[in-house]
Amino acid sequence: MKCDAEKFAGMYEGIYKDLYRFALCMMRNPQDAEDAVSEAVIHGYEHVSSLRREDAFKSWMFTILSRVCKKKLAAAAKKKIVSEAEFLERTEAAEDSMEMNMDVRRAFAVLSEEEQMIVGLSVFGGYQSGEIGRMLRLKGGTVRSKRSRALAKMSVILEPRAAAGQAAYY
Amino acid sequence: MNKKEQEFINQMKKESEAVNVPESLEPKEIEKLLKDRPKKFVWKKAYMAAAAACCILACGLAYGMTKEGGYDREGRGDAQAGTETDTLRSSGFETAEDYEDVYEYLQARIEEMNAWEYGSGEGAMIKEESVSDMAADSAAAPQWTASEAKTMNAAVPETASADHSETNVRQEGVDEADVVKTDGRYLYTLRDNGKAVVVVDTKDGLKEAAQVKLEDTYSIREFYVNSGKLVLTGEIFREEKTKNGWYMSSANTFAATYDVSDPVKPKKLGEVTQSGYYTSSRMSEGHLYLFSQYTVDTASGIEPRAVEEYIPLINGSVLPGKDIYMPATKTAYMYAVIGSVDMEKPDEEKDSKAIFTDGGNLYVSNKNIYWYEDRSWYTGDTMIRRLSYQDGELRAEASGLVGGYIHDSFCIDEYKGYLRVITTEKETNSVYVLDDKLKKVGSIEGLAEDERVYSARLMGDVGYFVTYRETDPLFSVDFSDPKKPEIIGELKIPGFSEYLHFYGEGLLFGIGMDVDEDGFTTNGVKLSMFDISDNTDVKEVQKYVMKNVYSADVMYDYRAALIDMKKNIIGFSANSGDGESYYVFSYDEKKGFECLMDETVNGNGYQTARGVYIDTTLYVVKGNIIEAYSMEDYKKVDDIIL
Repeated sequence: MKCDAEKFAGMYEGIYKDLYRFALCMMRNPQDAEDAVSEAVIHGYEHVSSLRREDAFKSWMFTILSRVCKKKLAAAAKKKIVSEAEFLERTEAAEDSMEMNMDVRRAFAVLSEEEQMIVGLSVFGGYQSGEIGRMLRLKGGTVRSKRSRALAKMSVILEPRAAAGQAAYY
Repeated sequence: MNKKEQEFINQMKKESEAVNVPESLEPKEIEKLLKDRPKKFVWKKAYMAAAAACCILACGLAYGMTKEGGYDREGRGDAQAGTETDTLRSSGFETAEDYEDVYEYLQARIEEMNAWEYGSGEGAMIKEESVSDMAADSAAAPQWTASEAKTMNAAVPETASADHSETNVRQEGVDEADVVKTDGRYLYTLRDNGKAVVVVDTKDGLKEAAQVKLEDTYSIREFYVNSGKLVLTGEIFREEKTKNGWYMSSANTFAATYDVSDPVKPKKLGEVTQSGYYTSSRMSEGHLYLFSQYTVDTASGIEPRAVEEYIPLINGSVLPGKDIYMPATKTAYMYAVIGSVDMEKPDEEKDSKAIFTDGGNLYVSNKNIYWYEDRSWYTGDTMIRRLSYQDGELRAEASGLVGGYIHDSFCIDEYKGYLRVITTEKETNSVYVLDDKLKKVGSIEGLAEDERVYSARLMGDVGYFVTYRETDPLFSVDFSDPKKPEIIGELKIPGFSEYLHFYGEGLLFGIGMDVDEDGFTTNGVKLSMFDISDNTDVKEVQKYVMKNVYSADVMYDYRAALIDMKKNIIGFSANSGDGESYYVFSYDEKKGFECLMDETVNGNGYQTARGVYIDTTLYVVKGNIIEAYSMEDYKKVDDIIL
């Protein structure tokens, strides 16, 4: 696809908020989330000629972003520069600057990285299990079962509002 | 996804809408950023034609398949589904004729990737800026010295070993590595930074006795203590700048063996390496079996002649083509590398094989390695390959297909030459019995519609498995006639078990989640005891719900369980809103589960906690802290910070 910076930014405009929210749940720290999104954007732009259809832009960008997040997390774990104490401190410090519902983030925190990815793509990408499978190289059935298990775990932290009108979290 | 799950997802989305996106990510800023950057595009097709020409001679079938093209750009699922027969045609164990054969598949992958995807080459591609601090780290660290074993306090070794726990393994007789081990007197624990294993003497109070430390480029993942030897397994990392200015980090898997007949003076005996990240290992009858996953750097491109760029290396030497098994798919980018090491010769790999794979899992019986690869999301099946491993000789024996996917290694089990497999297939579940050629001889299909397998355990002629949607049916299967497996019992209870363990005669222990009748809200971790003395009428005789405890490590890694029937203890660590605690339960027919211990786990790091015992002392180990508890009253008696 032929695409200049202006056109790229135009397509990006429709999805960037969800990209950032997804990265925030993955990285749990606004600075790292911001880095991940900009890295994904740069990579996407450099390879945009290989994207053939505009309507595939969103899933293409989410795929790139999820891999960037994964690699960043792996690199961080490998370096182990952040001790758990530091990590918590950083997360807490970051809380002030974030307006995402605390319980949503706490609920994400109990998940494994893969589960975060799956739930994150469901919530922020709005994807179904088959699409998520393609992005993460998992099988649809596995995505479904992992997502159910992850949501069940999250439900201990963040109670699903069973009925309308029971607005417990506002 | 059911309605409740969808509602929950919508709720999270709504509750996240208030998030402010940093200014630097606003479209206007991004546009500015991109305007200053050149666009890159990558691959040249010259090699493709040359390689294809060679390949017509070398591999007719493989070439034919590849020529038809790779996956559909938009989703390989659809393209694949239409050509299932092609996929199946090469589901056997075909070895590579030569390296060009291999190259062809990899090249097809590169084409496919350039068509649409973000590169997924070996390891992490990291931007230059973010690597600089990594480089600083390694500059500050000790230099490349030979792996050294540092000896601390010298004590007289005592060979007499007390009653002690062993790692909870999948298959009796096949040892597995872990992050904590004991030999009956010494505790061995992996430091959280993965750079050393610390040997701690438990005699007369906890004392650090020795430390086996590796160079900075090494990262130990887990280890064995077996027959007087300490075997460390993990990765050696390497970083290089690629042609396009990115940093490429790649890894080799290693196994380093030390003599610990005197645990305070570990002596290095040898080391082997093989390409790729460490995935797992097993030890059986004096041989180590090492598994790694090697992803070819297709993102940077490969050249046909530079075979070391795309053929796995074993101890630095290129693996011969006859030991490489060709892919079942049309393109390839990743190998599962399997190496065996005779523990008497820890410096060499006795045998090595590589299988092209799209990712898979393994189950190791007492005679065979089963590599199973879930392809259910595009072909609807799982491919199973069997390699025999007697005395370190690896031999490809058979391959076959079962419908659906295999939840975990407890759902695949060899007994008397037959392989029993429990799968979840589309919206139902199946039981298969395969012969030694991995051909189906018996099956039950269409079980428990709309549910899926959560756990399983097979022993001898009988198997049990749990499926779940809203309630937890525990099925009993009679396998005594391999051609006619039969469901003989079904018990329905709320919640589900994620791990099952036989607990003495006629009892099966399960740990999982208790779930409300709405089938969605979890109340906490649940322990169940099933009476299986009558297979046709299994009963849940006791249960215990740990309120507000939302997960236990054992549900994800069976090695985290400390289960000992003689001592009547069930130990594991679990997480609640208040953090991680170590629990020990006993079981009594009348009193049910009794909580003997509930103590906060201290210690930091990413490793999950382990409990091991020596005589009557329980040691809870996590990262840098070991805490000792008397098993008389479960009061803390000692601790050590490493």
